[in-house]
Amino acid sequence: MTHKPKITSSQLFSLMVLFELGSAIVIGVGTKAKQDAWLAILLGMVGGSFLFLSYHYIYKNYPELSFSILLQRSLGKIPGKALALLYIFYFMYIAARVLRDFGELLVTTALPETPIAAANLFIMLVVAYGSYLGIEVLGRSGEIFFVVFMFLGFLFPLLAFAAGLPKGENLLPILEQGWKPVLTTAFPVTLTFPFGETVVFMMFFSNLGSPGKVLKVGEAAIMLSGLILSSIIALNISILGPTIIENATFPLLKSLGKVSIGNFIQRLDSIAITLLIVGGFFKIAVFTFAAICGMQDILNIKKRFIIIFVGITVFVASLNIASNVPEHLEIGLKLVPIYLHLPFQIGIPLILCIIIMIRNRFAKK
Amino acid sequence: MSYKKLSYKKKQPNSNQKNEVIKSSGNSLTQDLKENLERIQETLGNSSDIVVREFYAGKYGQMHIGIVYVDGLIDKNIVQRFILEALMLNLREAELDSTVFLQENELQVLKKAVLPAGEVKEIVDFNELFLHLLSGDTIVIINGVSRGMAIGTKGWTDRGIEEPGSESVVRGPRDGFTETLRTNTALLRRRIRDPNFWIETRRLGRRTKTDVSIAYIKGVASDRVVQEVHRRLDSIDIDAVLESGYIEEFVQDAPYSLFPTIYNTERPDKVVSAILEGRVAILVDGTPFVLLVPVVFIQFFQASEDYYHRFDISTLIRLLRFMCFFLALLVPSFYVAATTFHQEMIPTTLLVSIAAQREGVPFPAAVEALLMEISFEILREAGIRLPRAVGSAISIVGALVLGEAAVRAGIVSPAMVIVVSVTAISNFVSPAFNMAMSIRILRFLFLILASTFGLFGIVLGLIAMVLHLCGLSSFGVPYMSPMAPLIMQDQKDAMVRLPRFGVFKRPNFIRGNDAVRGRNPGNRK
Repeated sequence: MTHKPKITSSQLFSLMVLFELGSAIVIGVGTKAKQDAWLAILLGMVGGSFLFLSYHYIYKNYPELSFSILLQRSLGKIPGKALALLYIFYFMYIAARVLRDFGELLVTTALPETPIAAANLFIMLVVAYGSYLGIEVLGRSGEIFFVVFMFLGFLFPLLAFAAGLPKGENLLPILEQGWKPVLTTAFPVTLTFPFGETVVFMMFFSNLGSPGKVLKVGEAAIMLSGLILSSIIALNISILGPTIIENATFPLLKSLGKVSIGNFIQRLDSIAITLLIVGGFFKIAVFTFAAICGMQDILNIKKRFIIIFVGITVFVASLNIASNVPEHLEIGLKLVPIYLHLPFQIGIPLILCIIIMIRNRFAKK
Repeated sequence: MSYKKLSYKKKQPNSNQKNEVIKSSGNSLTQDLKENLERIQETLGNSSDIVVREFYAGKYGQMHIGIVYVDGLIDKNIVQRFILEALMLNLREAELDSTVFLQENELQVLKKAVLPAGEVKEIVDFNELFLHLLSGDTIVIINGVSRGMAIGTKGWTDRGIEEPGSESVVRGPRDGFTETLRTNTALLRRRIRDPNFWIETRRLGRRTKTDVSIAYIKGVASDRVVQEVHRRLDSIDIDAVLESGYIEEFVQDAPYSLFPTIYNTERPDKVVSAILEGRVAILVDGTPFVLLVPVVFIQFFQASEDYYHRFDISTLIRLLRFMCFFLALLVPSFYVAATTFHQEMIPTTLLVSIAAQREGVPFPAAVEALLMEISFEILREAGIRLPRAVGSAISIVGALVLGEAAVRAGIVSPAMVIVVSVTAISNFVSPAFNMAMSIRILRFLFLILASTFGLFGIVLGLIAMVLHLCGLSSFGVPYMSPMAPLIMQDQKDAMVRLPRFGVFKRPNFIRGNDAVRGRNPGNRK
């Protein structure tokens, strides 16, 4: 490596916001809590920001290293490598899952006659191109799409209110069944998706040009995306009502479809699709690129081959991880949070924190 | 990092040129005038435009002098009055002090005391001699001295300074560059009276030996960029440089990208304003097109007129240009995507009328769009090459055939005609021709994406395009700055233009050390 690619804090910020809103804004998050989904998201956000503190603590102790090398440095060569490899597979698996989500969504809503493989392949090609160009370019395009994303994101409530769709009573009563359903959706579902997924950014913290700002940027990104997500979900609920929300796969699409102003501005699904593709792209790209970077750190292979390998693996996996949509969603909601998100997002980082803490204690004495 | 790409181009940098020069040990002028003149004529194959004149000068005709020049490249007036007259008449009348003759040789005497010419250069060998001779200088050789003199007598018929054809303005200076490098540098120098405005010249092209100048303001331009320009120009080894496009292809960062990473213009005011922002201009003899580096994406949407009109109008027009960029790029593909994949996006009444129009059309929308776009491109290309008298006929044929008849014959739908015309007109809004070219090509790519993947294809294509744009850089400056990487300070003159009293600093991403343009906070009460 001749020189480490650097990104600015505004680039990291836009990448993180796009990443977190990416799929969550279109796919209903925390809808198990019915009309209190927005509350569940806010709780998840608070939890996520605490989780981020632990990620930051790990990073702060090894500010020069990317996550995969950091693991080797702190846990020893072989266990570190093994764990890094596990993380790489985790990233690839989540990338494949998100890719599948988007493929399914596109095929069901916009392109009914297109095979999902074609749509996924196309996304994957662009992701591979982005990965080939590297983190600097991803960061810069993140900055541009952040503006686009925010603009479209604000257009939605504006149009919804202009059309007089939101009904406040749909959000009432708050906490109908007490705190329990809210807490059980917040932990672990909304905590891990999307907030806990910021664990993937551990791969890129060392690329930040101004290293002191990681905590500030990260927390700000989590807060902003949490607030946006929560208000969009609240808006969706107030438009559609809690019962439809709970069963809708893509609530944003549904509520945007309802917007009609003067019989001319109507069927705005295209806004949702645009948001979706942009956000989804960044989500898949960040996961894929993290896996690629990790592999590059561990294995001594040319970047080009790693990109081809990871790209093909994620693409094939996205088609084969589940045989149909219900199975795919079932795995995603029931198994993944408990068996994958919890250990990789919370368990391992916390253990790592404790190990580093103990080691620091010893080093001082 | 991307500089590395250049390395494969410079296989043997200038090795042959250097060999020629080294060979010249047997190449220097001899003392015998006859021999020298014969050699000149022999080397040039007795070409008819070479004029050789021998005569005897001095009070007693003791100096045997030969002069050589290329007819057509020299100013006859100068040669006649200041060289021939001076040597043949003045020298005869002059009472030359014998001490001068003792101290200096005849050549020095002529140079210092006789010739009333400004540019005089001593030459030793034939390489130099031919270079000067063929550039339009007059060569003076004296019998008995193994040196010659090159006297600057360049003067040929020139096009004169006219309004540039490719970039016209409503308000602003109307002079444009010409084909003569010296005129062009003068146009720049006339506008910047700053001793730090430097013009460095070199010769490129083994056979054409074309003058290529680099113009910048020392301290305002970043040293790194200047060095990089020198380095890249040095690595060029080519036999001819006929237009700045030759240089452009060698020095640009991403030769395979659809987007231009070098700006070219015919307007001196544009070049000067770019130089004042800290850019470097590359002027090439023989073409009015001057190259500017480094260049960023938004620069292609900024016209020099923006700075002459009021700032609010300029801002709106800039935003309009950005809109037109997307219109020119995406309107046909959106039309195809909406009519084939997302009919629900179109309001019902409009959808019904489009469907009714398309009823008689035998092709799918994608084919229809492709057909119309290609025929428009053909018309446009034909319009450029045709003689002016025929041009209007073509435009009538185009308008009638493509507009009326094609619709009547049921080959295309009227909506498609509107789409193509909107696209075409938006495309002409771009102030930079080379950016308009990239849009033309990309439009077809997006058309293909839209016809296979609909809106999804368009958005994903846009993502790929933005990724590509963010990955480009021009002489070390990221192509999308100041948007990505975001530089807040430079937003004052990017998408929008704030009034000049609000913009005190040069663009952060280009300039060298000298940031401040001026301070006038007090001019607003």
